[in-house]
Amino acid sequence: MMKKWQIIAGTAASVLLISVNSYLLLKKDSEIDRISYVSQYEETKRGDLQEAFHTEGVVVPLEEHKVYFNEQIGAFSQFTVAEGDTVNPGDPLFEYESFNIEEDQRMLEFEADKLEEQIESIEDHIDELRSFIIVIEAKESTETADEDSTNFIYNSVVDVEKEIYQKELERELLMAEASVIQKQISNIDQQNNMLTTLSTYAGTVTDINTSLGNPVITIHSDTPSIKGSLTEEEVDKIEVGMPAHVFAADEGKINGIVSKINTYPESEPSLNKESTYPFSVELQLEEEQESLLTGKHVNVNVVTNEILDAVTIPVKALSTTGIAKNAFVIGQDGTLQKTPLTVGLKMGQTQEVVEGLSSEQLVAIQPDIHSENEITSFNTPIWTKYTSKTAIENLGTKQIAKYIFTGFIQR
Amino acid sequence: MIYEVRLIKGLLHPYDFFYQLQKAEEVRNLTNRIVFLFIASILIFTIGAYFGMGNDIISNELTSVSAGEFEAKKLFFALGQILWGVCYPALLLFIPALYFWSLTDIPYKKVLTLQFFAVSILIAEKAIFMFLAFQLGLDKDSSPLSLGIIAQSLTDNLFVTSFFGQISLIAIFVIWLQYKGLVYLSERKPRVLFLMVLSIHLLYWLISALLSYIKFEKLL
Repeated sequence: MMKKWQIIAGTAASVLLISVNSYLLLKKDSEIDRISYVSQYEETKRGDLQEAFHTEGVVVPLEEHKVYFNEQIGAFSQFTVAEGDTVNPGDPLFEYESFNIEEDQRMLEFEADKLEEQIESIEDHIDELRSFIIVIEAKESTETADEDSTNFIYNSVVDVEKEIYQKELERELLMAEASVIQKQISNIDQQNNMLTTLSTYAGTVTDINTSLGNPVITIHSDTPSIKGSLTEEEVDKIEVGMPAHVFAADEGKINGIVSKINTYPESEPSLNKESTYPFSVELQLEEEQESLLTGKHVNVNVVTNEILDAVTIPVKALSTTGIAKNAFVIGQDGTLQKTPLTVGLKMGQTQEVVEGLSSEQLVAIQPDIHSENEITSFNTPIWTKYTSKTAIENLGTKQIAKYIFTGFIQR
Repeated sequence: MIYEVRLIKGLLHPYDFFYQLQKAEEVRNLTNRIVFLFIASILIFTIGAYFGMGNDIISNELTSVSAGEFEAKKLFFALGQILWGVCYPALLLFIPALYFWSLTDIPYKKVLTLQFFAVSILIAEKAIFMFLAFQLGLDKDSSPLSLGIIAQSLTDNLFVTSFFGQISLIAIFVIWLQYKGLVYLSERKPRVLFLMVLSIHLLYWLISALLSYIKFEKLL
């Protein structure tokens, strides 16, 4: 039997050894290399990221037009449309017996003349703009052609062409109005003093006030738009112009833009109630999507932020200590390098990296790190998902022997 | 008297084990036990290889070759490690037994039995160390039970740190076990027997330290 003092001495020495070793191993500036373990890794990518915010909305008509009847100009005769009818510009809405048919006719003709004048004036303006372009282009060939002045001339021409386009649109609208007036004039039933009011809009008749309270007819445009409501926190996040994606039950995804945000809440501000702010989304409809029913409830995704072509890593590759964010980059020399990052947008499981990484780098996903050093060597387990029979076959006997030997001698 | 090899019983009551072994005319079950030992060793090294222990020296290939090629190389590396799992018990079992048998008059089978106990302990230590190493990211020479950590704090010399890294508490226990066992089994002077045991361990430590120092992986 071992003598008692031997046992005590032996145990004491063992405890001492283990303690000293533990201290040397675990102390802050330990000289002992600690090997990290990488069980998973990913390549950094380039991609687009979006930050979106979800809310709900309802389909409403883009425009609402109200038609009024002034009882002093005539006696109402009858409506020529019914609720639910589709109307186009020029369609008759209602008939009335004019108290002063000649006066009314004169007024219509006056209106037609006025429109005629306006149209002519615009056409003159357009001609002027066209000749202005010719002058500019003539200048181009006479002046010494250096790049800056050529660009300037080009830009000027483009601006003028834009104005011409605008003016032409205005002219179209005026001509449409004029043709409606003409139709009205030709519809005048001289014998019965009947005048017909024609629609200047396209849409659907949604309300006819049979008791002749004004507005007598309400026409809603057929173009749908979305109306929704934002809470106080939400209203700060959205801006007019942000793209919005609308999802309706059977229609799939419809693209749109936030067109309006009310700066005044829906109901009277009150201390006890949360204020809500209405907003509108203008839709860019594809052909198949135009039958969106008014009143349908939809989901709206407003894209509040979009980063294009950013360097991204999976969120799992991010290592956070306090406020510092790091990633562990796998280097060419088989080491793991702790790299500080500045991060940006996060979309789901993808994180934008503003600074610190470039694309096509390899980062370790949640490695086991046992040391404070910035650079550590690392082991990797056998990854069955990457094993390939062809790669094994392609290795060659010499390589195979080399690696077997290296593994063997590692002991 | 027949001695039946029982590992746990023998380790817990070593003096009884020595006495019975010395008195015995026949040793039973040794071959079985040795086969189990080899299987255990292969298993332990296979698990270690699966987790990539020690393959940090080829990690530099991750970025330079395709994933398939890297994995293929890793697999053959692992195969090498498993091969070592076969050689390790073989080297530690038969050569020292031969050595002790040739220098004493103890029957070979008895010396082999004693050595079986020694190697079982060493392989158990290996298994425990592997677990610790995985948890703490330790290198082979940085076992908390050996002198390797202290050596690393004092020098950068790979030979020195590797040599002392093998002198562990368990190794000392094994030396003690072999020494006491031989004393029981043989009539030679205890001092000589102690030198025999110490010398074979020193030889293995030196060879291993040399192999680490040469850094065969540089051939890669």
